[in-house]
Amino acid sequence: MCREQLPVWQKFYIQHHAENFEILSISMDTQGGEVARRFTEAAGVTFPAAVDRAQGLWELYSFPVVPNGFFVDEQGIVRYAKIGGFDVRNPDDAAAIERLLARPSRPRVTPAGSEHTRTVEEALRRAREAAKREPENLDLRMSLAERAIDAKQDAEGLRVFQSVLEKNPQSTRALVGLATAYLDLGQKDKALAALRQASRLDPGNWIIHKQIWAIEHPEQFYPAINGPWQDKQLEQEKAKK
Amino acid sequence: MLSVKLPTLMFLAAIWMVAMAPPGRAREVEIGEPAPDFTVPSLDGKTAYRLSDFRGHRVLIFHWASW
Repeated sequence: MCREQLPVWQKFYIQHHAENFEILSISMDTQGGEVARRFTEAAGVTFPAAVDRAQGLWELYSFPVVPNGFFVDEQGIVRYAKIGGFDVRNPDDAAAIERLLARPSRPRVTPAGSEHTRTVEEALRRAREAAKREPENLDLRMSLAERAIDAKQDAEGLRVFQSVLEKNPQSTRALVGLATAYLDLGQKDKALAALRQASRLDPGNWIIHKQIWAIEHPEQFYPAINGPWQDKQLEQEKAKK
Repeated sequence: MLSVKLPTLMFLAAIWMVAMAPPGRAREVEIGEPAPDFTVPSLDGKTAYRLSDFRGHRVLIFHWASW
């Protein structure tokens, strides 16, 4: 389970934070930050902890599974990527990150006004402006829809995702985002229909798969995750194929 | 005997590769290339983090899930 890594990452963070190092953890929980927060709080996490509810990131970073690690250097360049099975408890994975950290790095003095955080409303306002500047850019439109959902503007998010799907009905990112908006608006059946369509387009995507299970069988996920149930479910699905 | 010219074959191969690419996977994150920028909200839903705001620092992006 990914969450069992959190206390170990916290230790790693304390050990290396002074080396100009940050961890940005992102939980892929459509059900919202609250379900993830229980685990980060229990682990005493002090590094930035975020949630990608509408799950736009798996398309942007091409990952069909979690846990993943991407190391980005001072200039914003990707220096390391491991998709699936990335684990701080695995000596190889931890050593790969420590090798990158062994390079000298001087913390840049952060200029005023470019702090790491802004409000979700501010992020939505910026996304609206960006999408307005390039109305034909579907990526910007999807980012806008995702920021709208973050800011609890689900009706706007839904409308914008629908406008993307009119142009590109094959967009799994838009379908999964649409499902998130439908879930928030209490339309579970429509959410499931959108997710099933996304799953047909991208059958290897484990994140969509789990999301369908979590909506169909919430009692197996919340408040506690039933691991053996998931194993059985997976076996049954493999048998069907 | 087949008389398909090499450029034609290469053209067909290119079409085939594009056709075989899974939908929505146009981009790949490459080592040595800029990390695509994104914004994600904090777990309490109040603030937002943007990757490019971490410029000047080394960042490990760690994706996980409670499930």
